[in-house]
Amino acid sequence: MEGKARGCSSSEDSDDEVYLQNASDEDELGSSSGSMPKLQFRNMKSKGCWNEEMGMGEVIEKNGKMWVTTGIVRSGKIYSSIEETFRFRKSSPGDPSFLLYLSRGHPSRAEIEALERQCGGIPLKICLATEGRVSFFSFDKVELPVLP
Amino acid sequence: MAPRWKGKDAKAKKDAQAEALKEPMSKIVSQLQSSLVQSNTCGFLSGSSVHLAVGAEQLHLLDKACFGSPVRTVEKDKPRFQLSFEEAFYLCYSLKCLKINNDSDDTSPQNSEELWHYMKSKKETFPCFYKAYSHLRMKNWVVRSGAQYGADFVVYCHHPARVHSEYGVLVLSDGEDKDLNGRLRVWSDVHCTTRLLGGVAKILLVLYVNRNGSSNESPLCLANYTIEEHTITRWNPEQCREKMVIHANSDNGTG
Repeated sequence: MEGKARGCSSSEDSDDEVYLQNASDEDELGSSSGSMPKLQFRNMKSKGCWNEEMGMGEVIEKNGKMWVTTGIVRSGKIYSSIEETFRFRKSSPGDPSFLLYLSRGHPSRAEIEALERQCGGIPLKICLATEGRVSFFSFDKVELPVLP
Repeated sequence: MAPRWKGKDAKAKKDAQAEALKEPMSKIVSQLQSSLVQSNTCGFLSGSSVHLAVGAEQLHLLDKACFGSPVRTVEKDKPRFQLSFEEAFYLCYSLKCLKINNDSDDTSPQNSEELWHYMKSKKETFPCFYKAYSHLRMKNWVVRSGAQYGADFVVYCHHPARVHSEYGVLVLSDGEDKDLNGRLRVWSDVHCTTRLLGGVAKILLVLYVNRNGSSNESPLCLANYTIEEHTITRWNPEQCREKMVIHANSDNGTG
């Protein structure tokens, strides 16, 4: 039973074409400080169409190196999940789905609670990295319902 | 997590759910309570459990309400029933429908203080476990031993014949009794428990019991104890994405 992702809203633009920006060498040469005032479109654009049944954007035209490591292949077609489809702005990314705390030891419950207070309501996951293996855990306060 | 009703097909699962709604667990427990009072049922202490001789009606209701388990004896005509300490104390102290003697020949029941001391002497963690057990029972969850899943309890939203359990429960003490139960002290314990429970489609529920400076000398101090409920779940990035978009099957914890 895996934890589920939170903070991911579903898109209802079922018929819109979504232009995906691809990473290019220009990004690597760009200034690392300051924020871009507006989106810059790259020369090589990919083209996608939201597929309601799949719940993902189907990539119709793919350009750029990023497709080597991005996307999900189903029945010979390549799709982009909701997170990848969003137009992500570096200067204003919105709230993240969750925050990740990298840990090598076992944080105590008090430490986890202190971390959660710093997260300001954004879900927290604890990432345990040992000997090259990575695991993620969520510790969530719950209230079991009173049953009939 | 929605309840997973048992049945060989969709209709059978719907029927199990309908039966559970028609006869909720709170009603069944209430019937058991009345029946035990009317029959003046009496148990007796036996090591780390409580035994009782029961009539057919009580036997039936104990099973429906999911308390205890039958015991095989040489005297086939006298059904025996065995309750855990938590179950027995709940019926005796909280529901006030069961008396418990010191042994099978005794005719004067122990009072709740005496029972509390006895059970505490046999099981150091009894105060915390009883608080956790009664907390869940008072919300009308069915609580059974979690031994086969490496947990303290498993909880069901109705009879185990009708529904799969949703949570494996660990009872951890907080405050003065910190780590009394000795669980989840290192990361490998977290891995171990979440993977084992995940492998049988349950979520790990941790109940933190804090006695807030109270003594544990009397059951009256239970009123000062507090409980916090937490779940601990593993997150797998790839699984998560798959699950979100195409409702992939849950990870069974292998690999």
